Amino acid sequence: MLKLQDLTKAYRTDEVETTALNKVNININAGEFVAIMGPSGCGKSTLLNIVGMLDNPTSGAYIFLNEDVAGYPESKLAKIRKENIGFIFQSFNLIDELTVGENIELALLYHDDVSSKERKERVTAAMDKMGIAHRAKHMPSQLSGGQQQRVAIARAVVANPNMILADEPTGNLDSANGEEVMNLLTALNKEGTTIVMVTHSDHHAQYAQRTINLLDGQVVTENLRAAQ
Amino acid sequence: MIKNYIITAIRNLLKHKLHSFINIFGLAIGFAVAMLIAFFVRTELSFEQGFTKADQIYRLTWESKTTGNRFGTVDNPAGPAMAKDFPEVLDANRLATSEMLLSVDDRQAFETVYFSENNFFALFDLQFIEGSPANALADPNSIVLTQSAAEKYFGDESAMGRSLTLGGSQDMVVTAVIADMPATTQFTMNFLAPMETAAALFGGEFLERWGSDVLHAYLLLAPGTDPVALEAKFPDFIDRYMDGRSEFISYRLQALGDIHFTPNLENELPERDGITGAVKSFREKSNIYILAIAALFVLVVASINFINLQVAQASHRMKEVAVRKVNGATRNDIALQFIGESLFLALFGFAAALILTEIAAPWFGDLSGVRFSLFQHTGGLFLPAFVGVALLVGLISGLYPSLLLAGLLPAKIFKGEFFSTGSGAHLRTGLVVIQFAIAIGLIIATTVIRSQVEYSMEKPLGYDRSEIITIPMDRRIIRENYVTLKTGFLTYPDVVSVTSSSIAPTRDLSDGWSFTEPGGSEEETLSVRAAFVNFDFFETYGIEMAAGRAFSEAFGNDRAPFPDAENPHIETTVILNETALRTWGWGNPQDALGRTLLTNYTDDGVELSMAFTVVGIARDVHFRSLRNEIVPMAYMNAPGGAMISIKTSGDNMAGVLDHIGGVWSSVIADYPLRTTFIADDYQALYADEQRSLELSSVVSLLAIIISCLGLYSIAAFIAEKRTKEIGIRKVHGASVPALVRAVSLHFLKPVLLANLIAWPLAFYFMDQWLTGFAYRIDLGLSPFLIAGVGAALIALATVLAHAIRVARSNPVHALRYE
Ligand SMILES: Nc1ncnc2c1ncn2[C@@H]1O[C@H](COP(=O)(O)OP(=O)(O)O)[C@@H](O)[C@H]1O
Ligand SMILES: [Mg+2]
Repeated sequence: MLKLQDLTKAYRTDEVETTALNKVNININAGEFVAIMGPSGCGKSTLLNIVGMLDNPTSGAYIFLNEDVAGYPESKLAKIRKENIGFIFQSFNLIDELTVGENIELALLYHDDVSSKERKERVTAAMDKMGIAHRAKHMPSQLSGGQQQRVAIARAVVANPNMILADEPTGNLDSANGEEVMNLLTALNKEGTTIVMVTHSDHHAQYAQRTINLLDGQVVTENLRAAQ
Repeated sequence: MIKNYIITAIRNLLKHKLHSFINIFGLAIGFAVAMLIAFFVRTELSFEQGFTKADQIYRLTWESKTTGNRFGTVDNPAGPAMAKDFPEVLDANRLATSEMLLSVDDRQAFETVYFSENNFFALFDLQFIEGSPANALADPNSIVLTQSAAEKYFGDESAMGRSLTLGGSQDMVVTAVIADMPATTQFTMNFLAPMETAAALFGGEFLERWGSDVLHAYLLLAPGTDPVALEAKFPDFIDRYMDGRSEFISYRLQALGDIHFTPNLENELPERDGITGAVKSFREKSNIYILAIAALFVLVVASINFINLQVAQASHRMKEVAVRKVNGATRNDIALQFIGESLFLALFGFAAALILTEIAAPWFGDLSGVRFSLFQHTGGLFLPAFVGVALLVGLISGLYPSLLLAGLLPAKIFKGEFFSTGSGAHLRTGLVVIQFAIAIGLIIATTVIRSQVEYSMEKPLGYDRSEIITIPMDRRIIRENYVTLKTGFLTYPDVVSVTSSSIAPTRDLSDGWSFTEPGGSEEETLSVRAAFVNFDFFETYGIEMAAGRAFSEAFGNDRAPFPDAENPHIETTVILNETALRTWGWGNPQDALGRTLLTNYTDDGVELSMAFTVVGIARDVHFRSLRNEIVPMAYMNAPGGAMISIKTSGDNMAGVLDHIGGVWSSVIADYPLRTTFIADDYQALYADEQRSLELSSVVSLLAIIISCLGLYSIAAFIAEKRTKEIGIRKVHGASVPALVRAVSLHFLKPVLLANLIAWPLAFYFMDQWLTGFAYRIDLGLSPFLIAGVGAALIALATVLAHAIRVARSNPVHALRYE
């Protein structure tokens, strides 16, 4: 599905240069569920942002579906992104001014090939699947964290992406809600969606088939989960 | 998708209610002011342009070479003579106005009656409701009424064929009813009678008398005629009819459209429409331009405000932009959303402005004298032009955030602080500086204009204008009974003194007069404006003598008849003003006393002469507005004149007027009494300035309000942005006053910078404006300080509220923001 080769990301702020990712090489196959772990500031989010084409690497190659997208301009990235990738964030990133339904609809809004009727149907289906249909007209601020994250997941899946990127999706949730999010992600993966998830929790990393450990911008170990 | 944009836009508006309100309302005020003033300016600039032949019509005016005074009238026969002598003068029309007693059945009132010739309607196309232009003035007894005049006297019935009486004796028949005069013509005409009638009423010969200038003359020039080339032929023309006069006077052509913008001519058309009450003030074009510029500035301030607030507002929405991008929105999608939203908001503000103009229309009408109606006056390019500006403002304010955000990778937007730092902050500060510079400039200008107008209104004019009542002496019966009236008036304790004169303060000066000195050559004339005044004139008006004495009945020689064939030589006295002495180099007033001045002239072949002994030097008096310089004057003692002036104690004014009315009706039967106050007339002299002042005060006040609303909103926004920073500072020991000081200084800097920009510009332009006055104030520091300190204080007060709120808030609360 994707391949990172000697991928480096450096941030320049005024005089200081931070190398957030240092010559990272990673392969992720279609249908995999990969967890990324590491201490705070080691570059997990940076990695996920680049994989998700929300940011450009400084150097190295990023082969996505046989295409090196590393130097692509935002407009091209936007197109690939919307056709292939769904996102889930730790802080949910729902738009405060839109209702639950409208937030989910957002992921289909910029797809010209989806009619408004189909949009409605798919949004309803996604909400049903996440068990939030009765909240369709609510504003995000009226929901609990777990409910908000379910909305975010519904939004991430409604466009049927090949891959879902989740940056600490359970970080702001209590354990029960966290568990439920993990179950939803696992179910999605079972349906064939590639999932890359950043997490701090060893327990949640157990849901993945493979864990990549980062330290100071470099991959230190990769372990396959022993038991499926 | 559109629906989603609209939903987000509306919910964002509602979420930041105050911000949205300030944004839209500020723009609406700006547009409303700009539209009203644009309408006013357009109306002013279109004076006389409604007449089809406006471009070809010029008014013939004359100017005294010795005093420089210019007159709206010209020697009575000059117009027709020009039509005869110059092929390029196709036609000439003469016009006179007179206030006359008009009676219909037993109703009587004074009305301004216009007298003109048959070709009036050929030059000025007016709309006929009844009757036709061809024969409206054909019969000497015919009279044309405007619709309002017809309604006033004949109600709903047709006025056609009805009769009325002019001046108590002249019977007239209504031959036509025309539509009311357009608002954009200087004619305040409601009654138009043939010139023959004027001849019958005032003595026919005057129409042919050179040297008498009671008539206005309008010339129709052949298309393509160069008025300057025609003017070059006037000196010969003048000498052809009045031998040698071209040395003292010149004729000038005044384009019809310029009449409205030449406020200081003498012998002008009446400004007040006697029926509708509308006042068509002559105006200084520069005052119109000042207003136009002020309005433009308000529009700029409001637009900047809008742009600034939209940009600031966009920063609340970075997360939204990032999320949309994460979900597939492209650069264009984001740009379209923001531009569309701003366009919509700008148009919304514009629509609100339309409502505001309708609400403000009556008030604005009082202030400007021009009635605005949205549905009548917004034809042509008027609305499209403003809609265009609104769209432009919307486009710019949407473009900036789109350009900034649309092209960025979402990761940067999530992180970014584009608006509180870097280029965004600089741009915003720059715009705030411009806004305040404009507002400060407008306040300085208004303060200077106000000072100059107040200076004009309160400058010691050399005479007392309070508590003086005047009564026109426009009938022989009044002149003949002057002494009886005076004696009668004076029996009332609050009547201090009574006089009569050919001139009075605030009115036009009378004709010129020439003296020679004994032993001097006939060529070396000393020119003055002659004032014929009765005893007690100087006492009534409180005009002081620099030397010598005022006229007094104790000196028999003060009053002498004009010379005639029987008494060809007359000796009498004269009082000069200080300017005359200065102009002639006569030294100090004391030395001038006792000198002699001569006036010799021929009448019907008889050589007549007058010898005047200077008995007094009167202090200079500003008879007209301060725009006019004081000219050399000679006061001569004569009975009669144009008006009676009554000085009162100022107490018990109702009793005084009652008493005057009683005396009047016992002496003058069946001719109504008309009284005016000199002080009111004086106010009217400055009507144009007053009006411009009021308008520009309102406009600059609005500019400041809009700027402060904007600053308030920006400050709120920045305060919010800095909540976390301030929280951290507090946790580490910063005191509330220190924080308030820091935040306030942050906002004062742009205001101080604005002063630096505004002061020199305002100084330059106001200094220019003041050169238009003969007597002007000096530009001191105070208007600048008032504006600068005022703006800073208002800005500080605006910002302080936020600064204090943020600085005092609980740091724990502040730090909870992520
Ligand atoms: N926009 C940015 N500008 C500068 N430095 C950044 C930026 N984003 C991340 N960094 C730095 O890059 C490193 C990795 O950050 P991040 O990927 O967010 O770490 P993690 O998600 O593993 O906690 C950190 O040292 C962080 O300070
Ligand atoms: Mg992170």
